[in-house]
Amino acid sequence: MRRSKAAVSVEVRQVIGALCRLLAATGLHAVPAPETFRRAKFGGGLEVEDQFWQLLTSILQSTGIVPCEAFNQLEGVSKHRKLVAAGLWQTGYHADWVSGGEGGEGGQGGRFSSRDLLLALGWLLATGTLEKLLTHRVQQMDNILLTPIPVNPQLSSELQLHSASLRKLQWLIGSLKYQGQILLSMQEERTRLLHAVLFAILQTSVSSPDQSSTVLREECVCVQQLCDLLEAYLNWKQVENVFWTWMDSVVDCHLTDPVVEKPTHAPNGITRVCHHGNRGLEKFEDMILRLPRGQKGQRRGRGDAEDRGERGERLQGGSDTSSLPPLLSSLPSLPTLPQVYRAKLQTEKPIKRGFRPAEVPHSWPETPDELPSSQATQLLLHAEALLLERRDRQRLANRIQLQEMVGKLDELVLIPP
Amino acid sequence: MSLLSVVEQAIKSCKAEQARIKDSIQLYREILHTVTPQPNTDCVESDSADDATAADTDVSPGEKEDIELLEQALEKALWVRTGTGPSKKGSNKQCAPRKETKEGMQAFAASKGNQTTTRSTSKSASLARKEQKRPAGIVHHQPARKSQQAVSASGCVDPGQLHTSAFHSKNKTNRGNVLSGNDLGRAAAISMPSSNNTAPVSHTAESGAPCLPQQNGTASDQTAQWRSLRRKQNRLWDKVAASQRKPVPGRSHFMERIRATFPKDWPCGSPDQTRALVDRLTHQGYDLIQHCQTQELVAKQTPETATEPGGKTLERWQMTAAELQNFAGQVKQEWEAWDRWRPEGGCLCPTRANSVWSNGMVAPLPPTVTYTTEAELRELEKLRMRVALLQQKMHLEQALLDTLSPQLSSIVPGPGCPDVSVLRDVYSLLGEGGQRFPAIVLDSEPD
Repeated sequence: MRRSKAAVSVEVRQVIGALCRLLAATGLHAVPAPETFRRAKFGGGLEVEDQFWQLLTSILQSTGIVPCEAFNQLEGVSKHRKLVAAGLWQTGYHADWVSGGEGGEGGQGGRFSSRDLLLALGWLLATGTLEKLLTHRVQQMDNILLTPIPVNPQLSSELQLHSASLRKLQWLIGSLKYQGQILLSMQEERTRLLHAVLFAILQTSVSSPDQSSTVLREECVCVQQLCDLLEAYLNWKQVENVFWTWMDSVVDCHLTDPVVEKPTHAPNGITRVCHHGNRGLEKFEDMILRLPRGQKGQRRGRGDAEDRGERGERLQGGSDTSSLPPLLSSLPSLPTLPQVYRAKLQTEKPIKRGFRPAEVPHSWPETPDELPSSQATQLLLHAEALLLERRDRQRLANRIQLQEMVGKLDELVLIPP
Repeated sequence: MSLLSVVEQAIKSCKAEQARIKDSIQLYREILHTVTPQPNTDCVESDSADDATAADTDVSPGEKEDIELLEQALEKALWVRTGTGPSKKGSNKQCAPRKETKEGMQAFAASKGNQTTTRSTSKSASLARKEQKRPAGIVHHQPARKSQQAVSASGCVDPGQLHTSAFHSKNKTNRGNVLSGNDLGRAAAISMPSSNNTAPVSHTAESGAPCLPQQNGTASDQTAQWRSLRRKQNRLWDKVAASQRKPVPGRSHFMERIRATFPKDWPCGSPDQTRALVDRLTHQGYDLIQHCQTQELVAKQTPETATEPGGKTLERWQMTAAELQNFAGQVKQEWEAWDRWRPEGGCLCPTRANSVWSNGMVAPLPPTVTYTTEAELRELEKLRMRVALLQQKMHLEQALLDTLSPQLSSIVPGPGCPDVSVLRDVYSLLGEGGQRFPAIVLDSEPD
């Protein structure tokens, strides 16, 4: 028995309502009403488009997909357009109006409508933006998370040092080391208190302390908001599939309209430079050049032939760089550790979920949501060992080179400590 | 940009992190103080008189001198501060310089003393009471501070109290300073004051505070409410994590259909993935280069060691290097493909804030780390901090090497003696991490 169209549309509206509630709970301000979504499917006017521009902009800014500083000098509609275009490209989305040139007021032929924006939103949601928003909000609201430690300075490529300021440099480095020690001891204190808080949550003491504080009240408010957010997310997950079915119908609408010729190549061949000056690529190429070469003739030749072969493949459909060749994957690499954790005190015996405790993971397992601290500690120890090894190797190389250099000087003799 | 400013920036970011940690510590203390019963405060307050006299005799005369000297210096500083007048309560501008001097004083105190000790809350409470009894001129500055402090719930800690605690504290550790300072601020602001001069001021300030809740009944409700909310949040998190494990076919179907509308030479994945891959390969490549280089250098230095094992590993390195080169070629093409389509403002440079996995599909939610004993959690956090600091150190050492190597290569043998102290400094920075120094001797014997 086919469900009536009305019933389906009511369900869709409810589902979209759940999505809107979830988006609002993550702290976004510009969430349109569910009705606006339906209008967008059939090409609502500028007003609808505006609302979606706002929504997309605020999503991209909150999740940090787009570095905001690149767009600060722009204002108004063109700012939205450029920011959204950059953000969508960053997630791997293509649409005519995204990579259209400057005159792209509607791409080729002015066929841009709010449906395109709706599809872009769908793409963002499908590629995990909701989870990013959730993480961002949780980090803002929750006080008992283990947060990242941002102590790395930004390095630019041109650094200078006068030999006269070496003393000051040494002093600064010593001072930095001291700051690090302070950090370690403060961190220890914080962890001790964090454990006490987590323990206090699990307690069921009946005695009523006669203290009350504004801090606790604020905490309660924040935690309430967090609970609302998590509940909204759970609701959404339950009805998610209905939304995707509806988005499928939007894609159908999009495809059945007379379609403009898809470009099969990039609009312009000018390689622009990003606002970092393509630093990453330069470093990469520099590394490739400095790689030790084996028996030059044969390897180079083989390498070229393989490259050409690969290029041929690529024209058909993109070579797969998602898996590393065997030797490379056996190279030790620093495990990518997630930035934010949630700590959970377990008082009862944990359920074994098939982890073999003797197995030491060398990288963060693909999608674990829960990890015993012993494994996390192992990972960190492994990372630390790698880093120390690298550091000591570099220092050894430096020492040897310096000793050689001083050895060449006639009158000086270097006696290492 | 000067290398000095880079190190200064690193120091600044460390200090910022310290401020954040201090705020958290303050927050947790307040929560704990409110939520857990404190049976000790009453008896400790009555003991405070005894404590003060007992504490005085514990301080050795030498330390006392130092303390007095510093106290005088601090008094002067505080007089200058209060001369400018207390501005808005908890304003950030005032907080920052306060934190600066606090750290200066901590530096001094820490240089005297040593490692970490655990302190019980009763001891901290007793120290807090002891501070209030100090007859020094500093005490009468405290009320001015406290009236600002009592109402603000943010973490800006009173420097006057901190300074006194820094010098009168027996522990003389950084942690000790932070603890006693915080305790003092908190104890003064929140607990029922039963001790002397400073008490009435803070009490009136507190009664003037807006919307203080009623006492006992709602207080215990609040605690219970907080507990139940937190537990509810834990349960919800578990459910959210469980929901992540379920596949969502509708979503993948939608993505397939959208991908079908992309042009034919559209690369796989996303720029973010390519970016992460480039970053990873760059690091692995440099690691490999460093390995080979060091091995060659060591082999040159000690030619008598057998080259047989060295030969094998060298060959393996070379094969890996060749593989890396090929793969890097592919990745570079992918990069260029992305670059062709790049709109203004998009960026492919590796940033630090990447939460993309190498298979890059969905950035997962923060994982949960479960632990059973406090020691486990402490070890985990300690390791995290150590790894972060180590990475910072290595960044800087690499920057140092890159900066200094052109200068070094310009030192050629020949007439004119290069600056010996410069050579010593450079050797220690590059070869020993700045911790030990070589000796350079002038060898003026004729050959």
